[in-house]
Amino acid sequence: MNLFRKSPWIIHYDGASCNGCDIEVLACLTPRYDVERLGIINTGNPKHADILLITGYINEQSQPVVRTIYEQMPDPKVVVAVGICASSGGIFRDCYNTKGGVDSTIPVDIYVPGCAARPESIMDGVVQALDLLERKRKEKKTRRRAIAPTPTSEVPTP
Amino acid sequence: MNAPAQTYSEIAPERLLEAANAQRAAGSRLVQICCSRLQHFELLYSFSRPHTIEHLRICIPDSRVALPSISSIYGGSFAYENEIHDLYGITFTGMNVDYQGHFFRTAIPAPMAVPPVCAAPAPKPNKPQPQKEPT
Amino acid sequence: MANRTVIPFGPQHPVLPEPIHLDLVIEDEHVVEAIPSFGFIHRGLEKLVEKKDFTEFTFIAERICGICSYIHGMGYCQAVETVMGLEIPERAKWLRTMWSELSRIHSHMMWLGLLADAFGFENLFMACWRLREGILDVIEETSGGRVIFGAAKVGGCRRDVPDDLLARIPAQLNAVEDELRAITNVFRDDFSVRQRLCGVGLLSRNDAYDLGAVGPMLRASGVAQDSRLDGYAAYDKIAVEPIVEESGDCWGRTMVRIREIYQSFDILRHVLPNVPPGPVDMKITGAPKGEFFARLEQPRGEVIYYVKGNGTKFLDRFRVRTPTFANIPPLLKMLQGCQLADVPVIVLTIDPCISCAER
Repeated sequence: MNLFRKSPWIIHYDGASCNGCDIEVLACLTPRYDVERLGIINTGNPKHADILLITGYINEQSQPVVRTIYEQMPDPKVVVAVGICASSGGIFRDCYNTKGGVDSTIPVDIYVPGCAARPESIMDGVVQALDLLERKRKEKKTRRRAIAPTPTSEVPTP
Repeated sequence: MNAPAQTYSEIAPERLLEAANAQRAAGSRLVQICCSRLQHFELLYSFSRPHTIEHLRICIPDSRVALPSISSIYGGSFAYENEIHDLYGITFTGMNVDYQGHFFRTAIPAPMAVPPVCAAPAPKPNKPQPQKEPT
Repeated sequence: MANRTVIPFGPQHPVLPEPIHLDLVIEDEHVVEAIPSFGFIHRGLEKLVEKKDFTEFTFIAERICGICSYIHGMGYCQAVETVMGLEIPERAKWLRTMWSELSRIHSHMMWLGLLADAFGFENLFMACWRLREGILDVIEETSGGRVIFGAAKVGGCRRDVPDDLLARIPAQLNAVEDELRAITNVFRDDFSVRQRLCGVGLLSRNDAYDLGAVGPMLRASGVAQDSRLDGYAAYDKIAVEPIVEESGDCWGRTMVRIREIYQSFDILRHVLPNVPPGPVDMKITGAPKGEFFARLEQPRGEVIYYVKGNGTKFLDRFRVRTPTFANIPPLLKMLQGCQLADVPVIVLTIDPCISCAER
């Protein structure tokens, strides 16, 4: 365990949901569930965030916003799609104004099931996101190490 | 059950303002305006008093027929009228607040103006709906 | 000559979890005009009646909104049942009443928390939401779900609640109610809370009536209108007194909602021991033909469901006029002339539910 390991910060974006998952995400922050004890803080600034929680499906209006938030977040980052609507479009996928799940716009790492997703499963998704974030961070580090001594590593390859 | 009595009556489009004025004089509250796309367009204006709800039905053959806005009589009606304009493409003349089609910003204009696929007697609608556009 | 500035409020605003966009025209810290725009959550679910048959559509009706989900499902079922001429079993009616009052309590407590958050009282926000979990526990025990619990069904209720569970609920509710007193006393008596709410966002009685305000908005301006008096479900056997405040400001609306929570506790205490025995659903044959407007009282106010059937399994038209949509013209009226710093509180006191309004 690294002493200087960063506490992961979360940004929550409501794509276009029915509110069910939103209030459950909010309920995660309140005393009964309290994800903040895992060192997680809900931030409003995408440049501070490591984990992007998205509820609801994507439509014409929210697509550019989601894309911008994703691009503004620093690497490594993890995207968690909360609820069925965010995963696939769910019950509303046949509607004329929807474009489908979050993965139609940005790559998604973790899908949280449920309609509405229960706080327990949202927290499970967030904890998985923490592990994945750590893995991505290590990968990035080893890649950097692998790239750094380029002259020597290039010798054996023909 | 002491639910209020609901009455439906059909009026001609040109008598709308007159009827709305009469409702206002009787002290009714505008409950809602509902537009339906059947083979024609049907608008229902609902007014309520404590023990009655009256629905005025207006039928127009297509969405190019402009209707007078009742927002000079009921100030809150602009929300319904802008909604109907954006979803069905029906024009209202003389709205007190006109959003020029920017109230509901939908991906396709007037999405609800497509006639229902299941209005035909065939029980199973298999026609694909134009709900998604390729990006 | 004062400077005019346009300040966009939303779509992502820290106070509201939902995207609402308002362009505020400001003149020296005072709002001259507010221009809303929608479409961030517009799904067009009313058009889905053409693809899902009328029994399946209950699930979609429940997902109009995740907060007042049950009453949406129940209102849709009630409209279809009236069109089909069904008289649902008595036990189903009482259970529906129970769930809609539980929904009202959970929605109002959630709103109190959000309001506390809007004027910067984080502790109160957490306290409200902690207590709300007690109501969600009751909902979960009786139905199996937390916020969208799918208990409504055309022809009754999806599941029965055992009598011993019904007998246990009042004690749980009493415990929540006792703790709630401490929270509502803060709203009622705290100086800084009053400072933020009293006299803010005034809506006169005439404006509220003319602009079509509904629910706590209308009642806080002195109009006694409550659709529960229509006597749907089991409300015809329960005496419901509309809760009215005269002040017409944010303070009045808060008081109406607080008193409604206690009223709902009283209704539940009357309902729970009186749920009659018998079946909870009935067999449905045929398809709806005809039209009907069902009018119900949601936590946010009067809601209208319009159903038009053509005799097939697929409805011609389903429409819902949600309370938030009706409260938008009064909201714009209240925002005119208010101070910029009060905008979040005023927007919150209509209890905005944008996914309801946009459907």
